[in-house]
Amino acid sequence: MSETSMGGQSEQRSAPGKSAPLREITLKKRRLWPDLRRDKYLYLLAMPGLLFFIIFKYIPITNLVIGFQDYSPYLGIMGSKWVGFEHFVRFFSNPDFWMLLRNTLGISLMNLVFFFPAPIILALMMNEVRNQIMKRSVQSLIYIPHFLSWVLIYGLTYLMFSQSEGLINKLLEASGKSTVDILSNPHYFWGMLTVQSIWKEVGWGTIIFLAAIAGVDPQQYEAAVMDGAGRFRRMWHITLPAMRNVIMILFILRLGTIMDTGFEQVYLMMNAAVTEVAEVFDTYVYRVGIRQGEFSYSTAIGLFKSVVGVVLVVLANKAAKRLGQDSLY
Amino acid sequence: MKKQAEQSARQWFIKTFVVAVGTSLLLSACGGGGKSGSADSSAPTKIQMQTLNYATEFIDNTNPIWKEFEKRTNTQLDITWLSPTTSEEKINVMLASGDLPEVTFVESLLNPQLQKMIGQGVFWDLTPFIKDYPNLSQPALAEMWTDSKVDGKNYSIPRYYPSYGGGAFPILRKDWMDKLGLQTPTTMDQFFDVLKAFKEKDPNGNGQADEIPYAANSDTMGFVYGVFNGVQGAWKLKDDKLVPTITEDASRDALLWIKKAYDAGLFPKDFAILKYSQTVDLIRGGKSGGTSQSMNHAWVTGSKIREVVPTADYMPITYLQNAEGEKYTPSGSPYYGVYLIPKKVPEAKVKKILEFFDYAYDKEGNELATYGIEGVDYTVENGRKIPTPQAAKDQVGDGNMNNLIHLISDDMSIGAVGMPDDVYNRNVEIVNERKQIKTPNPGNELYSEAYNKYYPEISKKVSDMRTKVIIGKDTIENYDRLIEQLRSDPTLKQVADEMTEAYHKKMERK
Repeated sequence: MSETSMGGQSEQRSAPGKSAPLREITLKKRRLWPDLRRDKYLYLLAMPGLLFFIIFKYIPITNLVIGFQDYSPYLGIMGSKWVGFEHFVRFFSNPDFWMLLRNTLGISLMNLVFFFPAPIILALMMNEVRNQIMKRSVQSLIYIPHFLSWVLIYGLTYLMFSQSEGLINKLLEASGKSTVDILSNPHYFWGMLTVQSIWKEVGWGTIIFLAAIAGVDPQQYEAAVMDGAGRFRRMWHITLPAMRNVIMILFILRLGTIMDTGFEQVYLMMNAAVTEVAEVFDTYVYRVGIRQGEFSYSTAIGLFKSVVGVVLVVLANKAAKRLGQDSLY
Repeated sequence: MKKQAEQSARQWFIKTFVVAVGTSLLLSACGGGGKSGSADSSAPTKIQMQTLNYATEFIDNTNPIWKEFEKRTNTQLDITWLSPTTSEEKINVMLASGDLPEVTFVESLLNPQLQKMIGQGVFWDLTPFIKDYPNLSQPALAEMWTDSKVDGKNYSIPRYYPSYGGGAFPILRKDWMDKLGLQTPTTMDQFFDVLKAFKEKDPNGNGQADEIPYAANSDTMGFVYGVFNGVQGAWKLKDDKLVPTITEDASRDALLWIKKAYDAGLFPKDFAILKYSQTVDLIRGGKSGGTSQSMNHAWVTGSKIREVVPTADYMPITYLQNAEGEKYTPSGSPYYGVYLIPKKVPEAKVKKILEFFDYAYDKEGNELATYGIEGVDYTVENGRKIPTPQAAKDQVGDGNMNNLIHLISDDMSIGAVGMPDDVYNRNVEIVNERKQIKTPNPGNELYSEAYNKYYPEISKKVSDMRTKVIIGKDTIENYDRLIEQLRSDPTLKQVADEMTEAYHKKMERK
């Protein structure tokens, strides 16, 4: 993005000149070093972040080639045999592929439909709370679950819903009803995951929306009140439009991670009775890749996931642009 | 002015650069440090190793036992401990990175990565050296060396662990059985009746039917398939061919037995979702009649039950037999985990490392690792070693140095710190009885590429289906359909063929 705008600028400047190409080159050359020197402290400040991305994100990308090899650690990337798309063929022709795809998309879509709007609604509600003390304490309380690990949340879920120790079943038993199995029931599994996600992350998710709301000029509300707008009118016509950009961008980013379902959560919640609806790409990669040591195969799967994610982000971004909304880039 | 600023900036840049490069050099120097220093025979040899450690607190080179080992073997040890919860992933990642310590520990010789690497010649073939070391070639370890051969060669130093006493097998509350006048079960029907009595006859005497007869989950019931099939492991020998037990009719009977027990309320309702640690919590809580564990748990877990129920007596059973009268008891190869030496280590140092292990498998070194230093960590009274208070300070006992090399004794699998004499003596009796039983394990220590690639998936499908049938989420008809399908499955057939081939190869060598 920044490159194109820079290019555009230099083009404009060089347009009136006679030897345009030459000037453009010299301009660029001249601009880079002085720029760097002038903002050296800024660049220095950015250095750790840049290095982080280069070392831990960009350099590892090159290792994706092992997805096209029969990778052996001893032989290394240079010595391992190239096998082309063999691992991809094996993966796509695996009868479990469709199950994995269905579960991954199913869990992600459940999240998108029920979990994604939850913090928006909560942020809107919190914005209407007038008592500041109340607002702040509620805000802090709903952040807390974000800092709990999935293991703890699994433990809590077990204590709530299990058949022998679960609170809910204990209550049912005490009132003379028969117990229900929730944790080993395939019908409830996706819903359970979604509920857990909402419980854990909804408070944390409101932060960014509340920040967007905070940016709204209070005069707009005052003017609306003068015009006789009620609470819901104000919410609809002022607050929501103010959040629209943020919602759109987060939505697009979310689409990019549609193939990720959160390994820890699914892995912990999975049991033999629900594998059919619980096995997702992430758990499959862990089982086959790490535990069975099939690095090439699992890399191929990871690559497939990433490609789908990138394609979705690009498509969603295009769609957003076409609809005249703010987009990611 | 401007120039000055420029200069100082450049200087700054150079300084940063130098520091960065310097640091990285320093780091790499540390990493490569182990390679040198074996030339001088009088100076201590540095040995870099990594191994599993079950202790809750890991010792370092300031520990007296560690120091004593270094002194007596003229070495300088650099040990990296692995916690058992993460060891599997860590070892796999380590193998994947190719950056191996001089003594590389791998939990299973059948690790597919390891098998590939052995084939590629990454590790020293130790076969020609072993005979030169009296303790390594002692008769007590002979079986361990034979069993750990790969293609007829010893690429590894196995870590001794007794054949009998380990493995998940029922340990029951003897005090409950005594109270209800029940005999120790030897058949599956008797076993069922004992558990049923635990449920119905109120063995804990509180007037409530709150007992959980057996703290089971799907994994702890694995032995039932072994009992019904009359074999250990996943393979059975039929007409000189290996066939997978999962598709056998005996496994179906085993499944129905477990289902019957589950339906009768002998297992926790959360059977399908309980993790191993949760089943252990159940038994420790004192309300459960037993679970499947190795024999040392008679005290490791038994002592915890006594904290809640002082009269509890937690007793391993000897064997269970199937309808054909075949007796089953768990046993395995006499080692757990192997040490390998990568080829990058020069031959002179390989010999030094073998010398170290020779000492560790010597009676003196062996006891040093487990009991510590005589007169300091223990005193001998009537032939028994009594630990002193110093022993706890030196972290002697289970874990740490004892995990580097296990004691060559059944005590490894049947004993535990603080185990009272009566429990210990009974365990000795039981393990000696178990040793009379040779349950075949034809698939033991066999490796096949197809097995690694396809079998885990297939077996997971079957075990998921089993669990669903047990808790009533699926029908036995669907199970039968799945098994029928697997019987004609080409990949499973390929796995079976390769396993049969590996089996015959192994038999020929013997």
